[in-house]
Amino acid sequence: MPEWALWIQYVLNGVVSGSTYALLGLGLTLVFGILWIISFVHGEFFMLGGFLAFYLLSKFADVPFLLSIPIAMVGVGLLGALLGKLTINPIRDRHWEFPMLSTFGLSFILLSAALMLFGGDYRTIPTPYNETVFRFSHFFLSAQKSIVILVTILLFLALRWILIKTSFGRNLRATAQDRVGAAAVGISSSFIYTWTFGLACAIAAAGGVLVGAVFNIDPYMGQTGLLKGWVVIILGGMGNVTGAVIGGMTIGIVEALGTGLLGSGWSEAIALGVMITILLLKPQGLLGVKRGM
Amino acid sequence: MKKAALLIIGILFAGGLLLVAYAQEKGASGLSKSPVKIGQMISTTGAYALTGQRTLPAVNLAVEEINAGGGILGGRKVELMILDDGGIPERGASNIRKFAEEGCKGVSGTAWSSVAIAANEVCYEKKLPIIHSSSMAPKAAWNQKSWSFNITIELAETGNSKGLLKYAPRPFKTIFLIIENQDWARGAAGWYKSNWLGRTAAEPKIVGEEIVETNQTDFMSVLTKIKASKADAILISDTAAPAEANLVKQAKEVGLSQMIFFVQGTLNVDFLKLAGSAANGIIASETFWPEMPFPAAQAFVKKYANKTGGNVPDKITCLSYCAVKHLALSMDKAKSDSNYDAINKAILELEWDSPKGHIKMDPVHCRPAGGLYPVKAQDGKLVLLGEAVG
Repeated sequence: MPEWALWIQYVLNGVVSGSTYALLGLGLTLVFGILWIISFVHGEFFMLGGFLAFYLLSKFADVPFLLSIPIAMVGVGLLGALLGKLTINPIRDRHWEFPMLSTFGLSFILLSAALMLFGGDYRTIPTPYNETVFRFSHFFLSAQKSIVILVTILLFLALRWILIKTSFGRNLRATAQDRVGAAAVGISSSFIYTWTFGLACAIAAAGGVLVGAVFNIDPYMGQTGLLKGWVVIILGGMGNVTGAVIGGMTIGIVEALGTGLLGSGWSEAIALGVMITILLLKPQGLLGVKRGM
Repeated sequence: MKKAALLIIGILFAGGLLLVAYAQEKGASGLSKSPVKIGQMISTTGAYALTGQRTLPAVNLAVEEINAGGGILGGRKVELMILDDGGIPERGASNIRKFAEEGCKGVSGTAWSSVAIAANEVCYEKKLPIIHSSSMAPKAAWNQKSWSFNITIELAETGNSKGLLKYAPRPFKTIFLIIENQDWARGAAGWYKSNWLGRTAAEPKIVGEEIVETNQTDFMSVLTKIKASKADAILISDTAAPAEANLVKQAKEVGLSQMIFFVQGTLNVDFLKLAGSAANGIIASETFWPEMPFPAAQAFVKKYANKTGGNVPDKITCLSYCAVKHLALSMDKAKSDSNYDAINKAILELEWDSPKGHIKMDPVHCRPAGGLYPVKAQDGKLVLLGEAVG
């Protein structure tokens, strides 16, 4: 493999891992960037999406893998909306620590429930696409990983469309900008909070399905994924969905290039170093908007 | 009057004799003897919880078998006092103190080296004989200060299995190492490096080394690097089954055709299940695996499956079973549950045929020597390749 092809392959590897980070970041940026809730439970919905798809595909072998993605999104999205309404909505007007602590507690409850229901064993979501690998010239990409990239792009475009073209999206943006003003014109913040939270959980669930098909699922996968999600939205700019995708891709590609340059052990340090450098130059993130203090 | 008194005394005397005889008979049958308590450390919480939960039925099975066979020390039953160490050294040490307080006569210990080392110090202080199941660090079993034993081989032996090389499907000149970022994996890889890699021109040359994290899932860039290195073979020193499975599945995706070797003890049941057909052809050395073609091994697998509703034991499960049995049988051999020196001597001298093979402790390393077999992964199982390589 020539040297130039090696580095392009690293970038391609980074786009795949960046896509999974972007999926985590997309939902989280809605919750934090728009609802201003520091959510510790987001990773658990990512995990639940993976497990829902696993059990669906294991029990009903005729269900196509691609169909399991929207099914998991709807199921986990509805659960997220319900839990958001019950545990976060009632305290969203309190000081920021209260919703944060609520998500913290909810995270432990969901994790414990997952451990009891599913056990701690690692599993892989069955999919027919892992065996197919596209090879072109010096490069390679499995069909499953191509699906990861495609789904990420589709979900990003869908989310942008929702936020810009639909009334729900307009109301969501209005609530994020000025909740009191939005309420004055008849926008129900309770409805917006509930369904934005549900939407964020649905996107996280899609990420869980895709990661579970490529790697594994286990009850703790959400906790390790959550940290990456935070890094992505801070880098990309909080509340900016395009920023979440760019942030995710940046981290993924830098990690892959870091592995090539210095080794796997340094890749995360390099990625975080790049993030810190960018934030020093642009504290609001790559596409974030400067806010007054 | 005198006659009446003599009669009463005679009855009392006879009654007393009968009572003594009855008490002696009861004592001989063991019905009135207290059980021999053995402390058992298992990780039922923490990072190693899954392994611990699988181990519980195995140690209980060992005790059931001993008791069904009449117990030890003249019919006394063995009873386990089970405490969780959580994989934490401090908890291991405090468990030993609790065992001592509760009257345990010995300890069947942990699979984790850091916990074992912490526990050994306290065992010496409390004069409790201890046999660990799977701690491979040299200090986990030692006789420099006090006796502490282990039922598995030492870390050094993992790298000493030169005999494994002849099972490589083709000769190889270069090798790439993938090492998990933790002490055991680094140590195991280190022993391979110092025993048969790169020391002379005749030995395979190490062309690259990558350190990976325990919970790492994405190895594509590492494997891309290996592909570019054109190494003939890969040696993986990693204890985490999910990471190992992701590694080999992604290796297939990258199109690597190299031979893959695993260090000893990591080609386990969980890995084979997760890796699927991607594991086919991987070569390693193992001390126990469920398809081990020896009668004692198969008998243990069957009994474990009956006890657990069809589950399959892994290496640590088997070793924990062996550790409990060896300790109990040693007490019986020493004819004592409290003579520390006699029990340790018996542990050293006892020989028996266990599921993992014949056990006889090596007095220098305080572990059974040898019993490392070359195996190859094929269709979700391990296949024995030949005679013991270590």
